Amino acid sequence: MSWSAPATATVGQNVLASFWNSEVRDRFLYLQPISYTEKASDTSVTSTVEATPTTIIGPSPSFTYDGSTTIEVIFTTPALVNVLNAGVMTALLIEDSASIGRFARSVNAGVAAAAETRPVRLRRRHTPSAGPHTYSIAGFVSAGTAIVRGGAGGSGTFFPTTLEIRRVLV
Amino acid sequence: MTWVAPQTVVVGQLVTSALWNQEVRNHAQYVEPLLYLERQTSAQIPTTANSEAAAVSVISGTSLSFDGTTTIEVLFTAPQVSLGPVANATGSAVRILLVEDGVSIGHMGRAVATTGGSVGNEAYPFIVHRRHLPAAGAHIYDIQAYNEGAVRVDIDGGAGGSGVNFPSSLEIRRVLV
Repeated sequence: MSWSAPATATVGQNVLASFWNSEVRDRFLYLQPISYTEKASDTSVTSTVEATPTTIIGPSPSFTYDGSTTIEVIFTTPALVNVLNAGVMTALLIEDSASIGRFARSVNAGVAAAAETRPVRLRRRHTPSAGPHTYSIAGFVSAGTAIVRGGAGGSGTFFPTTLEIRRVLV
Repeated sequence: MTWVAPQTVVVGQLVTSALWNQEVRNHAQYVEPLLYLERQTSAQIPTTANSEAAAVSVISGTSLSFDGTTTIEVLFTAPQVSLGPVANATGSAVRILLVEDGVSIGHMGRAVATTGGSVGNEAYPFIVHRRHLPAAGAHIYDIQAYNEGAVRVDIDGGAGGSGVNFPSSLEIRRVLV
């Protein structure tokens, strides 16, 4: 179901079941996330080939789209550790099993061989074609290893890496 | 109040006050944020705040009541976390904590500088979040930070306007599971 501008009720109009279901039920259903996935462990990204990247999180549960609903894919990690001096890590958004684009790029531009760490939050609006699809986040590095941190939370521990998919009110 | 999937109304069904209150009022209230706070000054994280136990406050929330079944999302943002604002940044590091009723329940984010070389040369915006199911009762959520390096770290925020950072912020909202 795509988002449409809310209808204006007029004086004397009967609230039919069809009106209620489209204007009340469907609008709140639309606001519910399609999926929310957590990963409570680290991922070591070691692939150096974009065509065969290391999966970071996913795939999301399969969901059937109508071809007209725009979604927003949101990926977060409490800490991306770019280990290698001058190392580059590129994150990809994967639909089903194919990359649909580069999500982000991180470069460690240090003057010495030291890890560089920062939290990351990425998002992408996308209109899936009609039919079932899954989404994943994957990555590859120029060399060495990058670490995407995730944990179970609790004192002294990172929160998980997350992947959320929700509909967009265009 | 827990999120309840919106129901389908059938032909001939009367729209009662109970139906309206559950399907319109409660659902509309559910999507309202529970809390939104801003801080328009920088929080300085000194090197003496060098452990989780010694973490200092960045933004302090207010007491909220929960029913034990409602999952929330806590979102913290800062336009700039400055690693080494007054000294060389090399090795500067900071961790951002989510604190429930005075106790850390996990690390929302971490930043470590590597470039060094000059003062104030490394800074990042922060947008970090956590889904969490609070136990029934009243709780207060705070964002705190501690310093893992040898130089001060600033978590910056301002009033906005030309040349000025926007505030850091703490938002808590219910999740439509």
